[in-house]
Amino acid sequence: MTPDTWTEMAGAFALGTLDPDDRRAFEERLHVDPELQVLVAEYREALGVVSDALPPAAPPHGLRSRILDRARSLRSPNASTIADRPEETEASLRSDRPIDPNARGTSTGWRFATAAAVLLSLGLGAWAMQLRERSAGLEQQVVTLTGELGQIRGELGQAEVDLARYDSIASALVGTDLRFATLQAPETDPRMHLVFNPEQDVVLIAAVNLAPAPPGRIYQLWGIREGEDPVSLGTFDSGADNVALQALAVPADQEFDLSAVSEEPTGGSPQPTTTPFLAGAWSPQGS
Amino acid sequence: MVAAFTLPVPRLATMPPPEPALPDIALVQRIREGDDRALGIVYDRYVPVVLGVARSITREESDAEEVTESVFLHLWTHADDFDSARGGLRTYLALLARSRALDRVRALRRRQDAVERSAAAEPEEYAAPVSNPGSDPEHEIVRREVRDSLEELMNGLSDPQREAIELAYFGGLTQSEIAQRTETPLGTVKTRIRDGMSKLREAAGKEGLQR
Repeated sequence: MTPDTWTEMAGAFALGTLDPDDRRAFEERLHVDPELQVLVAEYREALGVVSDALPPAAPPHGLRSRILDRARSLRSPNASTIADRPEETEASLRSDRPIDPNARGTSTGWRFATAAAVLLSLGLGAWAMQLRERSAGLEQQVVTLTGELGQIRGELGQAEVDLARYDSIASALVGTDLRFATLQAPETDPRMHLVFNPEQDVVLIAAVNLAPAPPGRIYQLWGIREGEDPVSLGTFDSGADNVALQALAVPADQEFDLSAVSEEPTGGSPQPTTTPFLAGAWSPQGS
Repeated sequence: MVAAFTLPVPRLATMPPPEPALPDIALVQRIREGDDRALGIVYDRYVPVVLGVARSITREESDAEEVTESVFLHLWTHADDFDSARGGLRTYLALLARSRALDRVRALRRRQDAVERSAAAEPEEYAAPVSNPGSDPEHEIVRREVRDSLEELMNGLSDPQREAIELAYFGGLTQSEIAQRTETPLGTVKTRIRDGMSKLREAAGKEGLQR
């Protein structure tokens, strides 16, 4: 075919209306003929004018999000992992370096290549800045999450302590020969209930309206057998809610007629150093 | 006496000049890098023309939407296919939409029972599927809209030139198929298309100067 023939076929090729054999021949020619490539590009732009003349259509609601959701699940083969960002505006894509609005591709190859290189470097620079900002944000999130994780660990540890405590409390109530005592102040609150489990050598204390011991002080429970010195059954304290609930391991094979509570220095005392403010008798053994 | 005083007039902040829109080539580069925000911007910029082309060919809203989706997803997964030296992104997307819409219509046509199109069929009956009677009114609306919208553009073309180009653009027919459809010699069809496209190219060149 002559060059005029190729030129005459350019419009039909752009329109996609060449018969198959002619199209294949034209495509082969197109690969090696830069002027023909320019001509085809111009015919394609002409078809673009046809497209522009068509009535534009308003997209239905949801089409955009559907396409973008699908795109995110189909990562571009050449893409690096850029996380989704909520702001899909041109402003969020801009770098702080001005983009040359005249840097657009032209039909002249070398000018396009230069412009493309400039824009490519700007694009990559902006992308690098965004990555740095993203990295800083992620680091902050790591710090925050680490702190939260530590708090969770602490709460978990406390929960484990509480669980062990409740286990001991519950087990103190398991037995066939339990003894009970109620300690109270002469005329006012607080009040304390005791359960003694001789099989486990455990005393369960449950006190209400008992304010926490002052700083440097602790409450101490005594077992008292008539005519004998009080025996320490352990120290304890109440919580901020003025409730004390605790199982104390007591000396084995001990029997008491009374129990009392005094306020002592932290760590307890061999013998009461203050007047007990709670006292009460144990129920007889076997009752 | 009440002391009069004047409230200070607030100084209006100077509005910064609007920033230039990101060029298409920069957006395509971002898409190559996997930035879906850039895809969203391209979508916002060109979905009216893409959907409009798809709709004008398929004449079915659901088909047009699927074609539109495939066009933008193709850009997302094959951004390297776009070569700005061969034309603008708008034209690229519009032609891609046309190609996909024609593929879809052909696929639908192949699935239908063979319909004999009489030689007396109106030129405007392109390749639209006919087995969906429920959408005929929709087809008619789209056909009329398309014809009206192209009126001015095709004004410089003769009726035979316009017919040949419309059969090719909206129907995807080859020159041989157009010759058969219109019962016109192949050489005549080639000439009509050549001359018609040349006029459109001139019109596009003038349009470019006016932009």
